[in-house]
Amino acid sequence: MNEPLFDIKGVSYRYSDKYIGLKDITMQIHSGESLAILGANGSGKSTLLKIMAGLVFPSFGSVIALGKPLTQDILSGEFAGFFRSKVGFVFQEPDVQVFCPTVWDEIAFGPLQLDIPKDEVIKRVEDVLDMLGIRALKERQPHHLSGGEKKKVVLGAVLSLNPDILLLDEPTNGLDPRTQVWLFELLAGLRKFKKTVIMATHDLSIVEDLTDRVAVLSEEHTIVADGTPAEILKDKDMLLKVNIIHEHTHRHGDVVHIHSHGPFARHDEHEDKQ
Amino acid sequence: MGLSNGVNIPEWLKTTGVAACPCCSIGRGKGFIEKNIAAIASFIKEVLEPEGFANKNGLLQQIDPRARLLGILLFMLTAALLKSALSIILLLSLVILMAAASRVNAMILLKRALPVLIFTLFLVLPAVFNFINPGAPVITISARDAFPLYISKQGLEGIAVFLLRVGAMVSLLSLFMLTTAYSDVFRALQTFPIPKIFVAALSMTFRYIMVLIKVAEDSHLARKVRTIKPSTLKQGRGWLASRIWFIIERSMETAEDVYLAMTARGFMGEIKTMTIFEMKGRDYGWIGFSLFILFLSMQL
Repeated sequence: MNEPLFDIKGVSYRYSDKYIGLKDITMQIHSGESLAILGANGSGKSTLLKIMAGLVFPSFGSVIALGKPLTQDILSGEFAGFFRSKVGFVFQEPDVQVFCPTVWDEIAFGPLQLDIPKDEVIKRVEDVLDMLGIRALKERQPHHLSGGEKKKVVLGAVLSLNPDILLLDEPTNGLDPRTQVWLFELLAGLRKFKKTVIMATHDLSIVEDLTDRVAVLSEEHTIVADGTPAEILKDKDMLLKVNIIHEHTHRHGDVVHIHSHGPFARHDEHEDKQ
Repeated sequence: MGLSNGVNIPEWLKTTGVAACPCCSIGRGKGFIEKNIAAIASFIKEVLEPEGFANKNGLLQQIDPRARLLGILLFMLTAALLKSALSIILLLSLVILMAAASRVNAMILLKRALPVLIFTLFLVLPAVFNFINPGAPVITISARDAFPLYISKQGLEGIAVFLLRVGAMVSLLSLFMLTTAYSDVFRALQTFPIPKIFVAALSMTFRYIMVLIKVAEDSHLARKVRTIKPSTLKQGRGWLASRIWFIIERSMETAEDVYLAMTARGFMGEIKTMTIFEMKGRDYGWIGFSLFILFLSMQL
């Protein structure tokens, strides 16, 4: 197998040197993979993504990304531009990512920072506006946009860098069903072009439809499972234990069901009670 | 097992009693905090989205934002150089004409200039007295030989000229802000020799003030919906202090996240921007006209 894009070895992270965010994470991610990092709220998914993006650095352990050890020093030098152009990061909260005066400026921001020629920047911005269907928004101020529109702008702002690796933090959070479907189609399209997509989520519908590998983080901040979506989704006990699904009781007419239930209504099995 | 998934709902929560309230007294409407938050939010929104004047097809709106800003700065320099009240009144008349040609109502300019003028008046009021501006007495307050106190003609004239000058400058600046979209203001500033990081920080400050005001509004409303009887002054102060700290914390977290989001998109300490304005003949004409007025003011 080729050299991994990310080689994470024994990574732990502590907030303010006190609170544990991640504990002894070891994993490798290869080019073209579509990986979901699954975990309950507070399990450390976002922190792991930020470590991969070189935005925060582990308290212990090491990360080798694109063949180089990912440290603060290396990301202050020449490697930084190369790394930022290859790794796109979409935050969970769109408001912190739309900081430019207009949507057009927002999408142009990344390519301009990477010294891409201005003609090419204009072309990329125009293409992204068309691809995402947000041309009508190009002169709008980002704080005027709805949640779904902001998410599209944020994705556009990252895609204009043409990253090979896309890190997405809770990509479906706060999206209406139509925008979710749009996002699914976009991500499925990007997969076809061998982009590596890594997303932190607790949305099981994404896992089934869009990934070929799932790593599960427990509430103790460690990786408790790593496998194909089919393998992970059939391990109900493990999913219950890490708080991704829960036991749920409800009524259909006179029949009472007890079954496991994820946040997006995975009804896998029913135990009927009269 | 019940239908509530093991959640034991207490008895009192199971009671329902929708009925009309027997009381009839009316409260005092919005409180101090709500009024202030609303006023700040409304002011910021007005600055950032001035009633759509920037989208109207007027004189200034047709001029390139860079040329527009340069012209307005030249007019402000003219206002600073003019010495007589009459010449400043002529300049003010020109500003009102420009506003009319730009489809901006003169009353809106007055509304924006008035608070600044009142504030300035209080600052410069002592200058009407003879101990700052000696001269011919207009109103005598104390006629004692050792310490005469009166309002002097020179003092009044000095204040009038100063207030007119401030009025002209505020009107010019307001006219620029009203006729220029918020995004173009910052784009125009980027073309001037001002550090880009400063312009970017200013732009982001405006943007995130809106986000934080929304947080403050929501935070206040969340308390309001759970407040049944009015809180005491002490409780109110305590709550206000805790919310101020909360907003400070949120602003610091937001600043950190924005920085990370910028870093993730290639920011390495220096903001790189692109200007796509195109200067045309009328833009140069506008700058020429502003220079001509400045030149005239120097001759007066």
